[in-house]
Amino acid sequence: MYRYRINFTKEGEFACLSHLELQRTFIRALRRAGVPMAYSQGFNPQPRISFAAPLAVGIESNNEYLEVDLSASLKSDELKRALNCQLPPALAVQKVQPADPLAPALAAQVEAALYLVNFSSYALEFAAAVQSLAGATVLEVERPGKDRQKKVNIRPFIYNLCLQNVSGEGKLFMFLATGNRGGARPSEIIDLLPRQTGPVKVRRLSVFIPGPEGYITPEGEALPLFWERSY
Amino acid sequence: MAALLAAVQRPARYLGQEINSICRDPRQAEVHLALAFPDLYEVGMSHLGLKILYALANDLPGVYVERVFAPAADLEQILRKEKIPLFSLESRTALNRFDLVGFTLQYELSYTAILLMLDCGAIPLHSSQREDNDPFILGGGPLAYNPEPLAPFFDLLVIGDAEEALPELLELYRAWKKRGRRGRRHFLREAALLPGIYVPSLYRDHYDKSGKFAGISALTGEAALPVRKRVVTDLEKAVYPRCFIVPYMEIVHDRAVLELFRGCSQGCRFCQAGYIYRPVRERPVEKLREQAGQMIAGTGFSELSLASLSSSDYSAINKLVSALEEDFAGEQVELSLPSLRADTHAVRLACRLQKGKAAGVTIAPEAGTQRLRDAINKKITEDDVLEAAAVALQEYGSHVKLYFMLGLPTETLADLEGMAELVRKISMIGRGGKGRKKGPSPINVSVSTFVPKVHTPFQWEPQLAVAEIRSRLDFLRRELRKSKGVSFSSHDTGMSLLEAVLARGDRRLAAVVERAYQLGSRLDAWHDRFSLSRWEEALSRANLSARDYAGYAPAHNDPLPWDHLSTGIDKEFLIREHRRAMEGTITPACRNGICAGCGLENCSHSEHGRAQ
Repeated sequence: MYRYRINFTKEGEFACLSHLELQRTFIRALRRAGVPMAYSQGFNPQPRISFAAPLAVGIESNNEYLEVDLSASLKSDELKRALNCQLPPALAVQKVQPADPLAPALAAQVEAALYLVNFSSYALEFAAAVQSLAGATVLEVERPGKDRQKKVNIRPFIYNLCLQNVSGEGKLFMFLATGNRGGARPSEIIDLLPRQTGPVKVRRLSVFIPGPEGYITPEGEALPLFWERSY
Repeated sequence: MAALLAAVQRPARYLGQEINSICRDPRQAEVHLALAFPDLYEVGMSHLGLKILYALANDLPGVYVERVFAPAADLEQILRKEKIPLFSLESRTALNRFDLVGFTLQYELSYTAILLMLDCGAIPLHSSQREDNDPFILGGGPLAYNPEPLAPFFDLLVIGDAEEALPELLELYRAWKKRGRRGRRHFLREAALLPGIYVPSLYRDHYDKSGKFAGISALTGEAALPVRKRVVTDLEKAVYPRCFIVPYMEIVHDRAVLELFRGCSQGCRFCQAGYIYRPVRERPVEKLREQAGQMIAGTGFSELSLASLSSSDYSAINKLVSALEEDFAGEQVELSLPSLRADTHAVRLACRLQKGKAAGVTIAPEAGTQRLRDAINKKITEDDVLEAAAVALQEYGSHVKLYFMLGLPTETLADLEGMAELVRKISMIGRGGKGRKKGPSPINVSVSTFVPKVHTPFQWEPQLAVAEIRSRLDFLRRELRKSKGVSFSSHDTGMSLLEAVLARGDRRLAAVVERAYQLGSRLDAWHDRFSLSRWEEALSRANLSARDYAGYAPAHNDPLPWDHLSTGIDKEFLIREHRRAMEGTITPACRNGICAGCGLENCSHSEHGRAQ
């Protein structure tokens, strides 16, 4: 069995696809590409494909990852080319790399994600609000539970927030916990900030796994430098 | 658009840009046609006819075809608030900017969605209000055989197969547009000369003093009486899409589909499809095999449905299935046979294809006693049903779903008892089966209510009154509770009533459809949106009653509001079949050289029959 890690984008209007819709889209693209997919055993064989971290509807992304198992080995570039012929440009495959099929799946390793929120205006009270979020020890939000809403403290899942004023537009970088051990959703934090009049665009820059010296991207890159100037 | 997608539920309904959708510059198109399905994306995208016409018309020179579906409640609200007209999926063109908009008429409960789409698309609802720069509104599909309740809203209707009629109509339109696109009525009169094209505004309906329908007359020489349906005689040469559009969201029938044959010669007397789609026309195995290969390669679907009105009647079904199994060996493509007759061979084939999955098989005895099955010409016996169920339950450990129809003409208490008894016998097989574990109920009984359909022998029969239907359903529910492991579901009686009203309606109902729409009816086929009271109010404002339509039992020589539209089958034949139903006499399927004499021209069986 041969595992490949596929790095792709989710741009523009395609941010509206749900996680399930994205899965179906990739499975069908792989099938159309004529790729020799490996299937699970049993009555209802399913393609062996796993996404690193589900992305909430409405969020664009520079770097999404999935891993797929094939029954034969392929050149990474060939797989990339074949897939890009079968995908809309907004879901472009940027990189394909072979991965170790015996190592834990990327989905099990991802612990954090970096988001960039673009606000159409930058206001001083906004900076104060971000600062007070960063200074809080408890931030409770409501999440739908099985029977009723439940309260969750998301403060421990907020690793860092960094607000920048770029020619009058507010750019908020958010480094948040995500994955199996809990996390915060970008929309939960945006809802805690003063209400915006203009559009708010959210983009995931990458997901992160723990490395020997802090968090790294699946490609092995460290967090960007601007991080030193954060709250 | 991004803001709009962010503001609605399931935005993939409106995203477009699917693989295999056709994107061109609409300004380059000489004829710009919107194919409209009056329901949500996930329903409309499951419809084979839409896919066939999309492929067919986009291949015509100078023609560009796009899709448009009904907006869900949340999008409708935004469109109205922001004053955005309903738009097509491909180029996001406002509906009123198209040359023509073609609606498919598949079920009565979609009628208000047609008005919704016209209204949201900024197109005047009435044909008479449209001007030269408005699109022409056309309709087609099974309910075009009685479009009278929609007559004022449509400019043109295609009666029968659209494969040849649509290109002719589009060609005529192109010429009219080239001449300066002036004079709608002139174009309509020209179009009426094409075979199979019905222009409702060229006809007038008449009623007698008591309000009884008294006939329809042509207002101009171009208007044919009757309008005869179009038939594609050679299905082998007919266009079939090489690839379906691959939706991003999950749709109702999320799979590739082959159309094995069109038409059905069984002649079940309640079934409209069995009459209007005659004669049976098969596609050859090799052609289907080629289409299947292209379809799977081009879509990536993992299921291929072998569709038709009665798939096990396909003359080479075994050969086809083996060939496809061979073609897709090792490719993870599941074949499914959706419409089966209850015979052990067909059920065994369907179960084998499912490879032990829980999908189960559906058997449709329709009625509970042999007497009633004979009356409706459903030519299967109790033994057929029991043996087929035994194969599914015992040999394959599969689930069984049973379809029945309640309120069929001549039905009595004995027939309902027979239904319960048949279900009890099947539930006994299940429990007797070896190796069956106790678990979820293996038998699912689904009961729909008889709706008299036009152009069938039962078009002269009334639907039972709602109170009677309810009491019969209650009786059945009580009886079925005595059998273990049986789950029961039934069709909404209010919906069945409305279907019966609209199915055999006349032009007076158009005001009712419009009023119901204004009162808030849309997407009536969705249980969470349906309200019978709105329709009752609309009917009462027009001084009409649901019972008068649903309970209508005309005499054989009474004029009917759909008499001017011909399926090619003699009315005399339908009368004969109606009489045979009342006597409980079956009529054999018109295959194997046996001709029932329905009067259809160009039918290989009738030639055979005449030769004998």
